[in-house]
Amino acid sequence: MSEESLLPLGLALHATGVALALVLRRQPAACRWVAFVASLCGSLTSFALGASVLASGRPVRGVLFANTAAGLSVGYTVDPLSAWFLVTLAVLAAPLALYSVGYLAHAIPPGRTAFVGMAWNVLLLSVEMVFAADGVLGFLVAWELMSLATAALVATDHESRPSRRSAYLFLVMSHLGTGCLVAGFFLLAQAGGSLAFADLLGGSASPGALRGLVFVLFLVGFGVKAGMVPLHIWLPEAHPAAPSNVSALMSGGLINAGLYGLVRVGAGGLGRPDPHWGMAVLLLGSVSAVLGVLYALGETDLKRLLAFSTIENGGIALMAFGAGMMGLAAGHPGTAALGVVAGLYHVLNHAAFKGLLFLGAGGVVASTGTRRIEELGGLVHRMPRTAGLFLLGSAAIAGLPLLNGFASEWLVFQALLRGFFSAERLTRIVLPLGGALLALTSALAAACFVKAFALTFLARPRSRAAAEARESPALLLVPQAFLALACVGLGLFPGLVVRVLGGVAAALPGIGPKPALAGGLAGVSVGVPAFDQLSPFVLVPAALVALGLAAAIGFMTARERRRAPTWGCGGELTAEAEYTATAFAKPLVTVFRDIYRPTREVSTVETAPYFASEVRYRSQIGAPFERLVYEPAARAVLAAAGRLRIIQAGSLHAYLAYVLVLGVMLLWWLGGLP
Amino acid sequence: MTTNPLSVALFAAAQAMGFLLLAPLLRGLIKKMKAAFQLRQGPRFSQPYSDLRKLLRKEPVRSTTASWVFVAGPRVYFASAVVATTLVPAVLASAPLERAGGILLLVGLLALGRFALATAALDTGSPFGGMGASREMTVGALAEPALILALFTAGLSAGTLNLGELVRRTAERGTSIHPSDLLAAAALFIVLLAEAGRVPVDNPATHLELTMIHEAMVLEYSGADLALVEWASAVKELLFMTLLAGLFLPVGVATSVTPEALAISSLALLAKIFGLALLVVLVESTNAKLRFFRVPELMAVALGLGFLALAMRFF
Repeated sequence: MSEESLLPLGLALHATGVALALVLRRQPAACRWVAFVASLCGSLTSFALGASVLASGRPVRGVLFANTAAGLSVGYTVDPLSAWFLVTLAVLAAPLALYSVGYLAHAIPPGRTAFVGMAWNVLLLSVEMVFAADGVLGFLVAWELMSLATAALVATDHESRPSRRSAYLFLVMSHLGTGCLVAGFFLLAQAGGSLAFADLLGGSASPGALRGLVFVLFLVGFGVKAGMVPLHIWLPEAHPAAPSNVSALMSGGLINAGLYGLVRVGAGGLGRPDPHWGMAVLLLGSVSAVLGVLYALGETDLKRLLAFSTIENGGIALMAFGAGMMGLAAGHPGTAALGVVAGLYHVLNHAAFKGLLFLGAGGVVASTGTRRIEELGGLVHRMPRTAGLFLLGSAAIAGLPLLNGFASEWLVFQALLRGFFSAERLTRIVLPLGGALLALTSALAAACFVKAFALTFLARPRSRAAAEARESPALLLVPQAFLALACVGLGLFPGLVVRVLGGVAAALPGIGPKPALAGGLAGVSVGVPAFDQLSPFVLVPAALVALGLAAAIGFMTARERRRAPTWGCGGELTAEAEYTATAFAKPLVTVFRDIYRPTREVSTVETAPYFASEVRYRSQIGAPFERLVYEPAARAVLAAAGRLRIIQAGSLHAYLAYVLVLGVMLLWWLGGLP
Repeated sequence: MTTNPLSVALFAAAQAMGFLLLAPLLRGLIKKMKAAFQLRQGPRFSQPYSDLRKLLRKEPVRSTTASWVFVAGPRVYFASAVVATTLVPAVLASAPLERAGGILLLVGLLALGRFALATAALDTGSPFGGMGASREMTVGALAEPALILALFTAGLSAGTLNLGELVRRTAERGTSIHPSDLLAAAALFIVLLAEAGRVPVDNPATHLELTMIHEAMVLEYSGADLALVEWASAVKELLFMTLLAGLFLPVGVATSVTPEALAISSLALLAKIFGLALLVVLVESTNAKLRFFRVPELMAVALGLGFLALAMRFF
C-alpha cells in the first residue's frame, strides 16, 4: 500500500465508524465495539503514516477532494512536524479506543452510545485533518469541526446544567480563537496571494508591517486551544465535564492542536521571528506552567486537578518553544532546534502520562461514583493495579528520573540554558529565571501528585463508596498498562526520541540541519563540546544495585515483622482524623495566598458541654481571571448588545429600510473607488 | 576520565560506600559540637552508628492500614540518595557516573527520594504523616528554585552542567573567587539547611508535633525501615556539603590518581566538611527555629541571592 493512500484510508475508517455507529444505534454493545474498533484502526493507520514519514523524512502529499469546475481542492501534506503530531495522537487514541469500549458500558446511558461513538470518530478525523491540512480552507474547516465535535462530547451529559455551561463556555472561547485565526490567515493571504500553507507559512510570505499583528492573532487563536493563561478558563471546566476517555483525549491530544499551530507559525513560519515574540511565548508559558500547577494543587476534584495540570504541561511546552524562538531570532538555529525538540518531546510525554492518569481517574470514578478526593482514600487495597499504574503516571508527570517527564523537562532546561549563551545580553537573564520557574513548577507538580495519588489511594477510605470500590476490568487496565510502558520507554531512550525529533526540527523553515544536540541508544548530549548529557543506562544498573542493597538491608536484619494499628494518640484513629487533600495543600495555599486569594469561613455548629462537637469549615480559592477579565468583558458585551437592540425593532419596514440604506451606501462606496 | 565499565563500577561502589560509612560520623560530629556549644558533654561521636545498629536489629512494626507503598518508600529514598552520591565529585575531580547526567539529574534524584518518602508517609492514615509530608513537600517546592538557580550560576560560569567537568574547570581556574560565587554558595548553604532539616527550617532534635517536619513524616517508621531513612538522610546531608565544597572551594581536589594527590585531596575534603559542619553548628546554636510560615521568606532570600549571583556574574 502506498503512503499516499494511508491518510485517506484513516479518515475513511473514522467515517465508517460514524456511519456504522449510526446504523447500530439501537444495539449499544455492538455499536460500542464497531465505533471504537474503527477508531482504533484509524489511529493505527495514521500512526503508520506518521512513522513512515518520520523514518524517511520525506513529506507525503495528496489530494482529498477536488472539484475542477469550482477550482476547489482540498489537499494534505504530512511533513515531519505533522507526522510527529499524528504519531502523538495515535499513541494516545489507540489505547483510548480500547478503553472506551469497556468504559462507556457503565459511564453513560446506553442510549447515548451511538452519539459518543460518532462524535468521537468525527473528532479524531478532524484532528488528524488539522495536522495534515496543507491549505487555509481545509485547515479551518477541520479546526471548526474539531471544536464542534469536542463541544458535543463535553455536553454528553446534557441533562446536567454544569455540563451544558462548560460546553457553552468552550464554544465561546473556541470561536474567539477561531475568529483570530481567520483574521490572521486573511492578513497573511492578502500578502501571500494564495491559500496554500506552502506559500503562507514557508517563511517567505511577508505581511510587512502587519507581521506583528498576524503573530499576535495566531498566538491568541492557537493559545486558546493550547490552554495558555489567560485564555485557559474553558479548560478546567470542559475537560472534566466530559466522560473520562474524552477528557484524556482532550488533555493529551487536543491541546496539541494549539501547540502544533504555534510551532508552525512561530518556528520560522512567518520568517525569522522578532526577539520579543519568543520572549512573549516564554513568559506566557512560564505563567501558564506556574499558575496551572498552583491551581491543580489547590483542587480537590481529581479530574479538575488533572485538567489544571494540563495547563501546566502546555505551559512547559510553550516555554521550550519560546526559548527556541528566541534562539531563532538571535540567529542560532542550534538553540532553536533544541527548543523545538524539547517542546515536541514534552508534548508526546504529556499525551502518555496525562492519558494514563485520566484513565486511572476514570476507573476510580466508575468504581466509586465520585471525583472528590476528599471522599476517596484506601483504594490501594481495593484497586491495586489501578493504584500502581496511577503512581507511575504521577511520578512521570512530577518529572522524576528516569521516567519520560524527567527526560523532556531536562531538555527544556537545556533549551533555556543554551539559549542563555545565544540570546542578547540584556534579555538573556529571563532564560535562567525561566529555569528557576520551571524548577518551581516541577517541584510543585511533585507536591500536587503526591496529593493526587496518596490521598486518593492510600490510608483509609473516607466514604462508603471508596470502601466498596472494585478493581477495574482488564479492558480498562490494559490500555493503562500500555501508556505506562510508553512512560517508561520514553524515559529510558531519550536519545532515540531526540534523534527522530532532530529530523523534525531540521525540516522546519529557518532552523535547518544544524544539530546542537546528538542522540543515540546511549543517550543525549547537548552542545559541542558537551554542555550536559543524559544517559539513563549508565544509571540503571546503579539504581538497581542500590535498590537491591536497600531491600537486602531491610530483609536480612529483621527476623520478624509485626502488624499493628496506627497509633492514635490514645484514642481510636478513624478515617476522619486523616489528612485531607485540602489540608495537604494548605501550607502552599497559604504561602501563595496572593495568587490563590483564598476565602474561608469557620463556624461552630454545635457545642457539647465543653468543646465544639461539630465545626463547619468552608474554604474556596478565588478565580481572578474570571472575576477581573472575563466577567467585566461579558458585562460589556451584554451592555453593548442591549444598546444595539434599538435598531433591531422587530419591524419589517425598518429592516427593509436598512437593506435599502446599506445597498445605496455600498453602491456609493463601490462607485467612489477609482 | 576512565570509561572502562569495571573500573567505573568499582569507583562508583567505592564512593557510595565511602558516603554510607562516613555519613553517620558527620551526624555524630555535629551533635558533639553542638553539645560543646551548649556546655554539655553530648553523646559519643560513634553514637549514630550505634543507633543504626540498634534500629537494624529491632523488628519493624508496620500499620495494618499501610500497603506496599509504605514499605517501598524508605527503600526508594535510600536508593536515590546512594545513587546520587555517584554523581558528585568527592575526592577525585570526577564523579563515578558523571556520564549519566549532571546537575539536573542530581536534583531529580533528590526529588525522587522526597516524593517516595512523602507518599509513603500518607499511607498509615496517621495525621502526623500527612502533616509531615505536606510540610516537607512545601519546603522542598520552595527550596528547589533556589537550589537550581544557585547551581545554574555555577554551571553557566563554567560552561557546563556536568558536575565532574564543572569541578575540573573550577579547579583549573585556581583560587580566584568571583564575588558571585560567594552569593551562590550562600544560597546553596541555605538550601542545605532546608534539605538537611536543620534549624532554622526544621529541628532534628524535636518530637513536638507542631514544629517538626521531617520527623513527623517518618514518625510511623520503626526498625530497619527507620534505619534506612535515617541513614539516607545523613548521606544526603554529607552529599550537599561535598557538593558545596566541590563547586565553590575546589582547593586541593585530586585531578590525577596518585597516592599523594588522593591523600591531600581526602584531607582537604575532610577539612572542608568539618568547616561546613562547624558553620551548621554555629547557625543551629545561635538561631531559633523559624515559624513554619516564615520559612518561605528564608527561601526567598536564597532565591534572591541566587539571582544576584547570576546578575553579578553576567552583567
